[in-house]
Order: sequence, then C-alpha cells, then structure tokens
Amino acid sequence: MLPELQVAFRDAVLGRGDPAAFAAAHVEPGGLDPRRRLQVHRNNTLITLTDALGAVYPVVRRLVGDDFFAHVARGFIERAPPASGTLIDYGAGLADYLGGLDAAAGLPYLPDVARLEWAWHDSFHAADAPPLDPARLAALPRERLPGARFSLHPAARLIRSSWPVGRIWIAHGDPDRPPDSVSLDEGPDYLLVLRPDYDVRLRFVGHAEWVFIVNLSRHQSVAEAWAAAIDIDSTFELSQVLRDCLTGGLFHGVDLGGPFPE
Amino acid sequence: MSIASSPSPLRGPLPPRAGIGLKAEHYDEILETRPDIGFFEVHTENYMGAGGAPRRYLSEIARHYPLSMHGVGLSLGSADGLDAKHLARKAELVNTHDPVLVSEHLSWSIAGGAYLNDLLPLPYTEDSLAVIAAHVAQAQDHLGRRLLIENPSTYLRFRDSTLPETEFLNRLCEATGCGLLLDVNNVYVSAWNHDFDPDDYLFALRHAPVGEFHLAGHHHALFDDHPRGLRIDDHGSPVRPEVWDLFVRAVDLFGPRPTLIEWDSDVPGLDVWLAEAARADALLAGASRDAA
Repeated sequence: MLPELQVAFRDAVLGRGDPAAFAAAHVEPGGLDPRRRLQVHRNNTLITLTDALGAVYPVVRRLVGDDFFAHVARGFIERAPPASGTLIDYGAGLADYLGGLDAAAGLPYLPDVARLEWAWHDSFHAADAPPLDPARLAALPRERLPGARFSLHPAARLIRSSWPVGRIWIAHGDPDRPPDSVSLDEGPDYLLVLRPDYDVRLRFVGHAEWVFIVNLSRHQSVAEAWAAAIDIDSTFELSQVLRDCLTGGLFHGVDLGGPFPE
Repeated sequence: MSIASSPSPLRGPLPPRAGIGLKAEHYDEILETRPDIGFFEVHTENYMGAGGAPRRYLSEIARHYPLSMHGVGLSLGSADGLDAKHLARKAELVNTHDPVLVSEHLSWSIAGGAYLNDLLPLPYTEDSLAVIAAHVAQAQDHLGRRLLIENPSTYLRFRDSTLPETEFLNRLCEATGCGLLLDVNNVYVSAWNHDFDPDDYLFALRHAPVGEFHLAGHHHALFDDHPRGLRIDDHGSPVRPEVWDLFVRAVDLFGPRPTLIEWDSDVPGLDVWLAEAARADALLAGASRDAA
C-alpha cells in the first residue's frame, strides 16, 4: 500500500534501513541495478538540500570548506530532514547540530556564526512593517518616556556571542576576497540584525546597550531597562541609545500606557 | 500607454508564447530593461516568507508581466495527505498575485513527516490514482483554481505499477478537471531511462488538457557497466537538440501552448535565457502560422 511504500522509500533516500532490499523488492531493474536508480533520488535530495543549507549558511560553508560542509549537511539532513515543503523554513537547527559535532569542536565559534546567519535569513523573510517614526518620539513630553514600552520591528533579531562572530561574519562575507584575520579574543559581540525596509543590516552595540535592548524586547519599560543598563555602564547615554535604535529601525511601536500626545 | 496601467493582458488567457523562470539575480535587470517575454514562472515556495525583498520584487514584476506559479512542495501524491499550512500559504500567494497559471507535479515529496525536496515517483496503481485525484480536487477547491499537473522525469519504475503513466495522467485529468503541464524534457528523459519511444508517450495523451509546455536542459550520466546510462533532469544547461526536436513534434500534435524554459542550476545571464525563449517563440509562431 502507498503509505508503507512511501515511508520505506523515505528511509531508503535518507540512508536508513536497507535501501538495497527496498530497491530489490520494489524497483524494476530495466537493465540497470535498481539500487542505482534509487540512488538518483538520494543524490537529488542530499544535493538540493545541501545547496539550500549552503545558501542560508554561506559563511559557515566558507569557514569549513565545501567538502566538510557537505559532510555536515548530509548528517544534518539525514537526522533532521525538512518537516514541510516550505524550504525557507528549513535549517534553523543547524547551529545546535554543529554544537554537538565532535568534528567541529576545533571551531567553537561555528554554532554562533550559524545562529547569526539564521537570524539574517529569518530577518530577510520576516513580515514587513513600518519602523517607528523618530519624530513621534521626539514629540513626546520627557516625563512620559520612563514608562514607555517599545515593541521590536518584526524583522529585528538580537544575537549575543562570546566569540567575535559579527567580525568573523564580515571578514568572510565576500567570497571573492581572502578573509581579514579576526582574533578570537575580540569577543564577545552584541549584534542587532535590522531590516527596517528590505535590506538586512548588522549593527554592533555595546554590552549595556544590548542589555537595555533585550530588556525592552521583553516588554520592560524604558526606566526598568535603563536601570539594568546603568548597572553595567554608568556612562550609559539613554537619549543617544534611543536615537540610534530609532534611526536604525529597531522599533515598530511604542506603548505609553495611555494616549499618545498629539 | 504603459503596461502597468492596463492590467487586463496580464490576467486573461496566456497567449502561446515562451516564458522564463524568475531568479533573484535577475530582478533588477528585468525591472530596468523590461524584456519582451510572454510570462515569468516562479517556484511558489520561494515566496512563502511573511515579507521582505522576494515578495516585494514579485509584486513589482507581476505589475508588468503575466505570472505563472509553479509549486514544488505541495506533494500531491503523498499518502499522508496535504499539508494544510502549506496549502494555505499557497492560497495566500495565488490570491495576492492572481497568476495566469498554477501548476504542480505528478509526484510526492513527503512521507512520515519528512520533506525530501525531490519529485519522487508514484507507483501507477488504482490506489495511487485515488490518492492523488483526491488531493488535486482538494487543492483546486481550496485555491479556487484549475491546476496544471506536470508529468515527471522518472529514473525508476515500481514493480507494483499496473497503469501506464499516460493513462494515469489522462484519468487524473478526467477525474479532477485538472490540466496537463507537458514537460517535453521530462518525456525525453523518462523515455531514455526506461527505453520507450517518446512519441508513443505523446500520442497516448489526450490533447485538450495540455495547458503549458516545459523545456529544460538535462545531463547524461554514463556508467562503466551500463553505457546507455541515465538521463538526469537538472535544469542546469541549454535545452538539448533532441528535446527541441521532440518539442516541435509536441507542438504539431497539441498545438502551440505557453512554453517555459526552465533553468534552476548554473543559471545563465538573462540574455542567454531570453535567447532560448526566443527560439521557442519562433517554433510556436511557426506552428501557429501553419495552423492558420
């Protein structure tokens, strides 16, 4: 029956079970070893899914080389094939997979590079929305600001790594140029992935600024988020940081706990 | 008068001209140079994100050209049933862009919750026919559109099959009212791989359902122990001369239809792709004159 046949075919394509027995039982030879006919589908699946992962993770691929990337991708695909036909959703788990891979242990920053690349991909396809207009906030009476709660733009992503992954990502961003060297001591990196319109951008921020923004993203008020930031850096400049956030397109909306003054 | 201000030619029945695929690397060049081409065909799945540049470009290009939406991920032949979320995302795109053609494949890609990203063959049995006919009907109802179903390239045949592929397709069209997207390259590839006459295949198909042709390049894998080898459909090169010849015979038989030149790997410059389309256009126009 069809359900059993398709599950057995899936297993053969993913290298599970006994592909030779499946081929012998179900495939007409037609002058050729049936395993070879079946192999076309295993190749198609692995090659096209490896290409799809390579398109999402170009810097990971460059860091490890095409051959090792193909090896990693194959293991990942066999263990965690896509769950749906919407392929742009595929590959979020690669960072965790890399983190558990002994063969990649020599590149401890690799999972975080993958997290950054997924954030970029996810931001690229995220919903469109107008960023919060800086003029609206500029018009706000100063006494209302501490209670304000911001919502992040739907395409904004926040990434923190102990490794300088933003610098590594930039250094390996151009396939036609040898990468600049990055010292692993340069971390940690605190990164905002921003896409206020259609171009994805990466912004580096300081530790205090990052904590401030993460707290805002958890619906803390400006006063609450500021208190945490000032603990980290007593010179934290609230108005400058807010201005940078607004001009970068980090916010989508703001809730003042009451009507917005006209 | 600009094309954009007269949307009707973009929505009516598609004239039997050649179209090409839409690739990200060509978006800007297309919008800047506005090549004279019958239509653009997209892989629907590439536009299933919530927003961002791909969807913006698609909207912009759909203002100037007829659009064909060709799905590769619906997996109509899966015994598991259709993925409701995937179907809903497809419906959203069809409703937004109102394509002139909507097509899918005679194949399956999902089993036991795994999507294999390949167009996998069905055993041609009464059981499979009932499964895929139910899914084609379900998808057509949900989309409010007639689907064109594409004949596959196949590399293997199942021992269990009881029906020829052509009869399977004819009966699927009859049972569901769907049309046929006749991929001439796929006919050639399958005929080679299973050693049958591609013209016999064409003659066995009903004419009325044929709504579109596909043409593409393929590669020929040779094996030491099997010099005949296998032809592999990879959409990575120009259309082969033997496939152009078969296309001419298909157009003679079925009449001119909108014809897509597919190219999905080693995608060439827009000029090379347009030149392939111009060749198909010349053959289609010649057939139209002969018929007149």
